[in-house]
Amino acid sequence: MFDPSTIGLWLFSIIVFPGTIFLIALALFTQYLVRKWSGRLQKRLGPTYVGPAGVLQPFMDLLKLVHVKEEVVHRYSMPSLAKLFGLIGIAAGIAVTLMFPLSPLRLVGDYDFLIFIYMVSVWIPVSLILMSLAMPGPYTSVGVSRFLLFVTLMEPAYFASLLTPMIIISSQYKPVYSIYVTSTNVWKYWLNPYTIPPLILALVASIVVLQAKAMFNPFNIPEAEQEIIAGFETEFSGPVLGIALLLHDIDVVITALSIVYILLGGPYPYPHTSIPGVIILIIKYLAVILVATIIRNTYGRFRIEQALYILLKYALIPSIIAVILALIYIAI
Amino acid sequence: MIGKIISYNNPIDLTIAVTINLVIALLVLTIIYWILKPGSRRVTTVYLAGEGEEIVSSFSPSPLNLYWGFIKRFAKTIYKYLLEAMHTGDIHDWISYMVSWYGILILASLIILITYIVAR
Repeated sequence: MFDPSTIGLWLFSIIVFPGTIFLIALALFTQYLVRKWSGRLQKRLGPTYVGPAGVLQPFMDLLKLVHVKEEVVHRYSMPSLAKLFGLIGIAAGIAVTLMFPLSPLRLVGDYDFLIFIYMVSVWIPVSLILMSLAMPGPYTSVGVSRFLLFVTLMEPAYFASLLTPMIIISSQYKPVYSIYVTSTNVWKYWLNPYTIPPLILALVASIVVLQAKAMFNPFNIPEAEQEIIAGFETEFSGPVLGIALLLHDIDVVITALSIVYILLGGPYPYPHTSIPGVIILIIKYLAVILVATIIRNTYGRFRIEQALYILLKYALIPSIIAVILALIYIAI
Repeated sequence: MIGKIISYNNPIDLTIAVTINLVIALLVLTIIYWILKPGSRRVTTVYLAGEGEEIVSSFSPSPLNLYWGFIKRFAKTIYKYLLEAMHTGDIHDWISYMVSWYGILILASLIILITYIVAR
């Protein structure tokens, strides 16, 4: 199972690129982009003070929370458990980056998509929920309750939307249901008139899911600032808050990367090491984040049942239709 | 092409490999956290918007409360629909509802059967 000659490259991939260091840097940069673009959309400057054009602001915020701020706890809270769950969630996000073609060491196999979903759709949300439940409070409970409702609809929609290109590509390429194989070949199916409709439906569903997973407006219901104080984050402070915010940002990055690679085909047909490949990859990633930021700044907060119906109508149902169309395509 | 592909024939091997990734990443993150962690901790009361602890019965929610929004809000419309279409107290409504769904199922299974026979 393990080749000793690859251990160095394996460790480099997990610890440096695209693992721990790169993913944390990308998560903080994505947070910066969302804050900066949101600022511009609201006629504000956004972050400006730390680093060139304020780019290091999220990093300093994280460092301040984890290193400087004191932990505020009450007698029912378990901060060590909360931090452990937070770190497990972040580690789950890092673990799957080696399945993307971005990684110098790629782990590929039949049905690796299911392992990806297990890590991203189970471990990350469960970690966030358990973090909140380890720091209990009435407002926390309400926030967790709302987040669980989102999970009920958004994770199946996320699964179905990414399953669509997997079904199409697995009919012709091996290994089947593989993230690497799907990412490298999906661009061909954006040129096929029969596969464009299911891919477009899956893309729309995945963008709505990204909005819900990121808890951006109009889906900022689990935290619902002011309405339920800070929802599931109410009792978080200092390092626990820092880890929770990082976990949230990594969830956003992994979701956006999965859309960019599995649905939009990453840099392909150009390789990662070519200039057109790098430009295409960056443009696709920025476009996904920009769409999420624009939606965030053009909507107010939905009520919980409104949000669930929107998720049902624009994420779950389109993604299921996309899967059915993909199945019809491969059957014909 | 720069880099290396490790191909797994057995999904269980791949699952173990990804789990090892998780453990290594967790160790690295834990070390980073231990280097950075603050020394001070302050104990306070649960945030209850200025009220005392006696106003709430429990700080940990029950499973039913966690799904409150789903059961009381989202599922309410489904329940209401079933109530109005099916559980009206009139057995004819129940029979017509159930027969209509069985009819769809029989129709779907016939279509699948015919498609299978033709496609074969």
